[in-house]
This record gives sequence, structure tokens and C-alpha cells, in this order.
Amino acid sequence: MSSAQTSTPQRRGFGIASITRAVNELTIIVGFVLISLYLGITTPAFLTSANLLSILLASSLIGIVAVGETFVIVTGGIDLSVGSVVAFTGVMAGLALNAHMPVPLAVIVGIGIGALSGGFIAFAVTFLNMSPFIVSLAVLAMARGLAFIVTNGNTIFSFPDAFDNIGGGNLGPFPVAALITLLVFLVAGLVLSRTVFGAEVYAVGGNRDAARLAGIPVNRTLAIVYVISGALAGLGGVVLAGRLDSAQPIAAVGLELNAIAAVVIGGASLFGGKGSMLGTLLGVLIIGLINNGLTLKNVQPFWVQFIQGAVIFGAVLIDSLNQKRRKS
Amino acid sequence: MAHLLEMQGISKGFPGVKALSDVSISLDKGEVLGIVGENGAGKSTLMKILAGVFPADSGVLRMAGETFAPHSPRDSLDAGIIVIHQELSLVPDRSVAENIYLGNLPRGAFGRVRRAELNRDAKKLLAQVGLTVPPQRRVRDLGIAQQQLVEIARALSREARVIVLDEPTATLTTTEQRILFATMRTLRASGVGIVFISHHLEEVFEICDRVTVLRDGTVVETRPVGDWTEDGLIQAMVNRPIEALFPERHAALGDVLLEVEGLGSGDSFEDVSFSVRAGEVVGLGGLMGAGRTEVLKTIYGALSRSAGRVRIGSTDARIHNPRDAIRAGLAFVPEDRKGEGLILPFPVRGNVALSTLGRLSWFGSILAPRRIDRLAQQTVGELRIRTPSIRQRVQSLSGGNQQKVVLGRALTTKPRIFLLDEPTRGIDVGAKVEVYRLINQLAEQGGAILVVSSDMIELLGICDRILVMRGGRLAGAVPRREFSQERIMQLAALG
Repeated sequence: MSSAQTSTPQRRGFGIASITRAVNELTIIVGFVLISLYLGITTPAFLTSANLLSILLASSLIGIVAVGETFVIVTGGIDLSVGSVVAFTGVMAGLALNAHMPVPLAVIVGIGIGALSGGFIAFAVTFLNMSPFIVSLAVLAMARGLAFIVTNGNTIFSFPDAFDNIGGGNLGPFPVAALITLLVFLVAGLVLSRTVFGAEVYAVGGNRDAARLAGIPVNRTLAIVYVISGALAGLGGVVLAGRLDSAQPIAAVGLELNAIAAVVIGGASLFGGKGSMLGTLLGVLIIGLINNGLTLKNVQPFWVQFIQGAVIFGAVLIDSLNQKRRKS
Repeated sequence: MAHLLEMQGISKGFPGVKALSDVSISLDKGEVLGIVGENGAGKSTLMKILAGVFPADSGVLRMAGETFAPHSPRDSLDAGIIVIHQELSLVPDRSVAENIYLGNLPRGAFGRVRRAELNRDAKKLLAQVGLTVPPQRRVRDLGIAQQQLVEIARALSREARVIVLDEPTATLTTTEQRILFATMRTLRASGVGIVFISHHLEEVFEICDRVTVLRDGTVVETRPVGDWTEDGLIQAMVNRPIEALFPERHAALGDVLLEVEGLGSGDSFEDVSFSVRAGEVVGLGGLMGAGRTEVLKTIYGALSRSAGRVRIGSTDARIHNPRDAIRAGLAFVPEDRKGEGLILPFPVRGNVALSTLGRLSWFGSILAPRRIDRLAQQTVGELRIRTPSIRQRVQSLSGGNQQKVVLGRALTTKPRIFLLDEPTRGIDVGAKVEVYRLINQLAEQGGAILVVSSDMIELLGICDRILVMRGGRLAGAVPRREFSQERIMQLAALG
């Protein structure tokens, strides 16, 4: 199978880094299909439209956040703050609504605050030369803390319907949140694979020194990816608050792990320079399938956490094995 | 009586290169053996075999008459052979005493480190190497020479019989060098054998008992130091037949394109002034660590400038980063092709397109794949890059073809000033000749070329003028009619 694949990549690839992407994405699709078949055969409740739509809805939050995370990871960085930023931006949007701000403005507040928090990480990573891992870990704690501070630890609730529809409404049979997610994926996919900025993201992740010497604006590129990641976490916060018709400072704990797992399962390398939005979309759906399957099969929630961790471990293991092979 | 150390008939090859062939050296107790040679002559390879980093392909090592075949650095350490590299291997945030006994700390019950004993022993060793700092001091707070003495103290803690000092003085001040030499003399008196590798010939004459000259992986000659003269030593190091590799030069010199005045960058170099005219190829020679690469990178905006100015044509250039430099008409080909020149997992087309993405897109933002393909095809054709396809990963190309990809990309920005750092390092002769032709062609088209190379023959063959750097300063400039290897070597090594 692989020989047939590797001999044809000449035909494919639009972007600057693409050569063998087809192979990676095919593997993920095979995994996706296998899991679906297994669940379809063993669990009658799986293949119902209600269940499938609920997978889409449940995947939308991870999906939106994973898009931002993909940009960051392709540059060779990481953003651990996204879960906390979802919670913080959610409560800020909620507070804005409770202060009788119009819905569009509240949405902008959520996304804008997310972008600001991404901007803070960007500043620390580029100007202060700090490690993204540590900076985003600090922001993870700070954003969570702020979410508790501004709410006094209370849940904020009862939002206008127009706001709740963003996260929980339907357009025809489809959840609005899932449609928003697909749109985000589509736009991000085009940006990453077909724009100069996308090419710069790959170049910075592929070899930062070489990119800089070749005249790529490395710091600008890094700054933009963290702002994108923060802004999308803000959008995630809005979607989540809408879906629940409430915003809690304790929301989305551990979401960053799911998002990073989705990106890595989707074929991106934590070493940078490799990854695609299609891969991440498939990774998000695989995680959605696994979570859904574990629920349908009544697996204890404690095991769910463990299995998610094991999946992440497996994905990272494959990544570092690939990396090793590439080096030798 | 058997020698303390004997390396006999050592040969070592790497893919495509014969690094050492039939090299024999010997070292007695209480002797300092100097090993000199140009960059790439095989000194480091020989010492790495001694240190057990990799085995020789053939040949024998003997310690005090007994055959000895190190399979790992551990084996060499256990045999009492300590190699102290130019880059020190100390842990900066631990104490002097801990560094001396690193990996060998005196331990009490439950693995607790016995500090008092540690510091007492360390103090004795420090006294032996003439270092008067408290053993509790953090290594970070010491000067470079003091750190080297700590390394030597560590060597003594392992009961070293042979100590190899690989270019230990390259980063030392004169006072520090005096301290080091005094310690070497004490060690010599106590019966330790020392191998001293240095480019600084006056030091070799001062401290060594015998001197071995390596050239192209073979021993030219070993003589007692009194039987060498400086000129004789230089002659022995560089004397090679000049191959007919270099194209004829016909470029006519035009206006000054690049002018550098009083340039300096941090500690790496200072007060460097020169100019390069259109059509001129200027070489930047000197030993490793003399600051040549840093000069190129500072002009290119990749290192920050701490003094002086750079003029492009007749205007002061405002270059703060490589992007500005490219806009100002500069191109830079880095010495470290894989680390700084290429994005290895990217295909040829991606690497070629990197510097001109704005032109290869619609509205400067949406990639135009056809334009990228066309540019890549054109570059592959013009530079005769041997690759099955423009979608081949550069990783899988040969060194010469990788280098052509880097050169090809540099040309895509239509530069007039070329900064080339070791443009032919590690590539085969055929590719070298092609690079020389390209340089020549660029000069004939009115380009100004500044090229750094450690290969003296190459500099002599392709340049109109050679600037020689030594210790972060320009030591002199040699015009073509005065070209000779001895002259350059003298400037580079003696100042």
C-alpha cells in the first residue's frame, strides 16, 4: 500500500511543505473507518442520526480549539492555555450579556479577550524569548484564576436565545456549532495550505533558523499563530456558554489535552513543520468517536480518562518514532 | 622502554572521505606533544579515536606497551586518557567541587553526598592546578581559563595519565593563557603526558617538546620542537599541489558596492573595515573562531551590530534583520547548510521559494503554485541540481545538490552582494567546481562577493583579494599579486 502511495505524491500538494501528506491522511481515514465500523456493528445506538449529530456537536468545541492549536503546533510551539481561556472568555461574554450588551458585542468580547490572551503568550514567546510550554502553562493558571475572580466562583446563566443558538441551536437538522466548526476548519485549511502566511507557518516549524535567514518574518508568524489560537479559544468559550446557556469558571478543564491529542492524531508533529487541518479534523472526529463509543458502551468515566491518555501517548509515540526514523 | 601512549598506523574513513590514513604518533611520560595542521587535517578525528568516541578502521593503540582498544569514552577514561575539548563540558550551576567529581561523587549512606570530604579533596586538586577559588563556588561565576583548570582538576581526580587539550587557548586572554601554561608545566613535571592542539604557533613553540604536523589525514613529519622553524612548520602544514579547479577570472571591477566601517558585534569581533567592489571576489580567511562567520552574519542582520556601519552602494544601510538585508540586495549562504540553510523535510520547490513567497503569490498572500513550480524548475535547470523532481525532499539530496538549492534560493531575490560562508564545505570536487564557476559568473555580472573559507587553496584560487582575520580583528589584507599560502597562514596564525 505504501509503495503505491509514495510513488504518486508528485501529483499532489499545493502548499509549500506538502509531499507525502496523502499517506498520513489515508492512515487516519483508515483508523476512522475501522472505529466507525466496530461501533456500528457492536452498538445499535451508534448509527442513529441523533447520535451522529450529537458526536458532531460534542466535537465542535474541541474542533474549534484544535484548529488554533494546529497553527501553533505546526510552528513547533504549543498552547496549553486554551481550556482555561475557553472558561474565562465564556464567563466574560456571559458577564457582558448580563450587563445588557447586545449579543454580537458579547461575542466580540469573548473572541477579543481570547485574542488578547493569545497576544500575551505571543509577546512572551517572541519578545521575551520564553518557552511557549511554560508561558502557556502560566496563562492556563492565570486565565482560570481570572475566571474565578470575575465571577466570584459563581455560574453565570440565563442568556438571550440569540446567544444560546450559537452553541446549542440548529440550522435545519444540523447543530449551528458544528456548522461554525466546519467553516472554521475550511477557512483555516485554506489559510494553512494555500497562503503565504501558511507557508511561513510551515517554514518556521520546519527550521526556524533557516526560515529567519531566508527572510521569513519569524516573530510575526509566531505572534499571529498564538493570537489565532487565543481568538479561537474565545470563540470556543462563546459556543460552550451558548450550548449550556450558562458560563462556569470551572468549564473546559483539560480541554487542551483533547485538542492537542486531536492535532497529533491528525498527523502533526510536536517537533513542528508538519500537520494539516484535514488531519486535525479527522483527529477531532476520532476523539469524538472514542468518547461517544465509551459512553454508549457504558464504560466507567474513570476509564474514559485513562483511555484518552493512552490514545495521546500512542499518537505522540508514533510521532517520535517517525522523527527518529527521519533523523537516521 | 615502551612509550606512555602509542597510536600506530591509524586509518579512519567516513562515507566519501578518508579522514586519516596510516597515522602514527607517540607520547612519553612528562612530555608535551604538539599537533598542528589546517582545519580538516584530521586532528580532531585522531583525538576522537583516542577518546573512544569512535573506533579506528585499522591501526593499534597502546598504553604503556599494552594494546588498548577503547569501545566507548568510558574505556578511555578508565585507561586514564582525558580529552578536554574547546567547548567545556562543565555543569555551570553546580559547584567547582561537584564538577570535579561529577559522576564520581563520594557517597555515604542512602546515596547522600559527603560534602565535607568532597570539598576537602577538591581543594587539594585545585591547589595542584594552581586555582585558588573556593571549591563551593559555582562554575558559572568562573572565567573561561579557570573553568579549563577545573576540567584539568577533574582529569587529575581520575588519575589521568594522558591529557589532550584541544585548542584550549582559542578563547583565553593572555593572563589566562599564562596560568594554563604554568599548570601544564607542573603536570609535565609530575609525569603526565600532554597532547596540545593549537593553531597558535608561538604557543606550540613555547610549550611543546615535539611537534607533529598533520595534513590531509596523514602525518607529514614529527620533529623535536628545536628542529622546527615557524616558516618550516607553516610550509609543512599547507604545502599541497594546487589542482586545476579554478576558472579564469575576467570580471572587471566597478564601483564599491559594499562598504563596512568599524564594524563590531559583541565579543566576537571588532573594528572591521573593508569594502567590496562590483565584480570583485573578496576572501575572508583565518582560523576557526576568528570571527569570520560573525562578520558575514552581522552584515546580513542575523547578529546584532554593536559598532560601526554598513554601506550599500553610497547609502547607509538600515539592516536589522535578514529580511531587511534581502531587501537591500544582500544574499547570504550559511556555513551550516542543514542547520541554517535548508528546511530538510521540505521539497526542493518549497526551499527554493522561501525567500520570494510574496512574488510567488496573488496579492502577496495567496500562493500561486504554478509560479512556484516554474521558479523551482528554472533554478534546478540553471544550477543543474540533480534531483528526480522538484517535489523531492532536500533531505535526500547529496551535499553538493543541497548546497545548490541554498545558492539557488539566494539567487531568487536578485541580489547584488553575496555573502558566502564556506560555500564548498563537505561537497564533492565536481560540485565544488560548479560553485566556483557560479561565483565567477556572478562576479562577471557585476556582483560583489565576500566569501569565507577555511580551505586556503580555494581562497587563493577564486579571490581577487584576501582579508585575514585573527582573534576577532582584521590582521591584514593580501592582494592577488602577493598571494601565497605562507603569507596568509602567517597572518592567520601569528598576526
